[in-house]
Amino acid sequence: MKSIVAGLATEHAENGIGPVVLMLHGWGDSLHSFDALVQKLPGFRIVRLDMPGFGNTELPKDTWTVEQYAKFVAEFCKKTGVQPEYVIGHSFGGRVIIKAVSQRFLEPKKIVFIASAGVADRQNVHNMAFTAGAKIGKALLKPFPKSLYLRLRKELYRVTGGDYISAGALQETFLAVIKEDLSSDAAHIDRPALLVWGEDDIVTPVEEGKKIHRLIKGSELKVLSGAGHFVHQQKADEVAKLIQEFFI
Amino acid sequence: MKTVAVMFGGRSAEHDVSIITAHIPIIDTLLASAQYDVWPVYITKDGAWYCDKQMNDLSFFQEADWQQKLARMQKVRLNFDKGLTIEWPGFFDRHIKVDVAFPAMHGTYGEDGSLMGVLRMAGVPFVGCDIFASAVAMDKVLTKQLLEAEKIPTPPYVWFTRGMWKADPETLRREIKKLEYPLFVKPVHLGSSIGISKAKDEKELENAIEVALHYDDKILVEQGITEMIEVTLPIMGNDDPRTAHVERPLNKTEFFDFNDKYLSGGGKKGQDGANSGYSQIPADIGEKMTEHVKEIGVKVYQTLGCTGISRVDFIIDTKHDKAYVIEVNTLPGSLYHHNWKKAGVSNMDLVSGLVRLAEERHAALKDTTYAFKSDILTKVGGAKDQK
Repeated sequence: MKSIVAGLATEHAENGIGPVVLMLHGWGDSLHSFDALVQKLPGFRIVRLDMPGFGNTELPKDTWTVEQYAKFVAEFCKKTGVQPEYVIGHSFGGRVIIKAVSQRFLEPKKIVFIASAGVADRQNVHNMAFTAGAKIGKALLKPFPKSLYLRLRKELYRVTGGDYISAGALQETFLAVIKEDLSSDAAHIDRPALLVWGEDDIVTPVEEGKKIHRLIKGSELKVLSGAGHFVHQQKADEVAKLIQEFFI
Repeated sequence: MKTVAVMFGGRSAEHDVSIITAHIPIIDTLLASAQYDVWPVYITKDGAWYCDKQMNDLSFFQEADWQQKLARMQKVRLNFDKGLTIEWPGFFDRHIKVDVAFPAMHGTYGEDGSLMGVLRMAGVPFVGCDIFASAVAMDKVLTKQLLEAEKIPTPPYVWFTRGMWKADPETLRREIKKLEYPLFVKPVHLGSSIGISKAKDEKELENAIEVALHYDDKILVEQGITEMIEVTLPIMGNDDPRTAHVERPLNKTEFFDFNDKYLSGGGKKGQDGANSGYSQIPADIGEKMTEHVKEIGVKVYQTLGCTGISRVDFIIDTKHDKAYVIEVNTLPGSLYHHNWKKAGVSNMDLVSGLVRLAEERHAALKDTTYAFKSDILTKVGGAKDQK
């Protein structure tokens, strides 16, 4: 169903009855990222939304930062009268939760981070190299005719970052989002957190899970073998079991 | 060989659907007939016009870099001197004279009569409904008001604009209370079920109104029927319309939404544009009801002054065995060719038949007198007389 949140037509879905669980999906994904997981978590009222720019929710009207996404999620909860006791975030959704909880936009009892982004060491190396490369590349390519410029730019970004290309109208937002290191925000999280990672994750490698584990006091890190970045889909049964045990 | 310009895309929420309609079945069939010189006229979401035969192939719009390819093309101009001419400005003047225009645009700036206005001004024969039927059908409330005037059954409703809702929501809420739940809340001017919500209680109603007003300045709150089935009827012709089969969409969700209509279908999407995977053709509603629906359908078609092709949507109250008209669509997605095919009309008959109907209507228009001799100008005495 749709609701208007902060002026954007926002697609959201609800399943089940019980304590409220809010699920936030990753970059380029949609609320359907959690379809398999939702089936395996009975006894909860699970609320999911398509984040602005993804799925069937409208695009943000300008460039957004992680904080704007976090505020939007808080506004969504207010608008739909939802007070999540638990929040689950995958990848970019985890980023948004780190910001929302550290800024107290959301006050859940417990948090689950699945292959969360936001604290990568390579944040400073790969992402900075990427943004710098993008800027330099743009300047270098400027003198070329438009058609050649577009082709060369595409090639440049192909070798530097796929998400940027696929971000389409969200390209500037993508840059704003990956630029921000959320380590200090993560260190401010003062409630129980479960971290679930796929051993073979190459998007947000286990090292990043370990870093969040160090930053959030008392957090638990569970690494599942035979799974990658979409561990909640590849190992839905195991992830659901871990979540249920953690929520009890 | 006749030159046919198929016009699609446009400044509409249904821009992408229009690309499908234009190609499947229109352009594909026109090309296959080898009787027409087919020119695709593509209008971007921000209103720029392009025409290049590369776009006769649907795959052009499926390539990752098609917009970059488009940016390299030259925009076209329209010339209305003795008909419609498409021009590529530049040193080497290129132009083509259009014999028949084939609008394939859904929604705003296309199906709503805007494009028909342009084509009327150009004086070129064009396929489908004219400006008046198109404009009325684009407004679900105007359509219902017209149906009521002709005593054609349509569900009870309340309509209002954004301004009216802002100024006095209480009065409107009281009006809405006279209707029975479930209610359907609809933007008045949008097609493909965009922005439509079903409300089962007051809380859902408030949300549905906010969503509908997000998409349109004028909305409709319409009484739903608990035990009902939806059917739709494609109709084709000018003075002597013929019907296709009564079709029942068997959608997965609570009502026919944009995704059901165009995207679902268990892998059957694409070939038929409008999803045919979830339709029952003909609808299993009995001979008597089928005839009744067809009879009302033709009456609606004629009341609105439809020509060429249209589709009339109904709901049937199965408890009381009564058919209600919901709305009229003057450019059915992909012309509902899947239905016509089952009714014995091939794509070739459908598309070439529509071109012929366009020419017939254009010829009939020529018989109508629009110019009158007048000496009014000679009698006006200049600026002094106007004091």
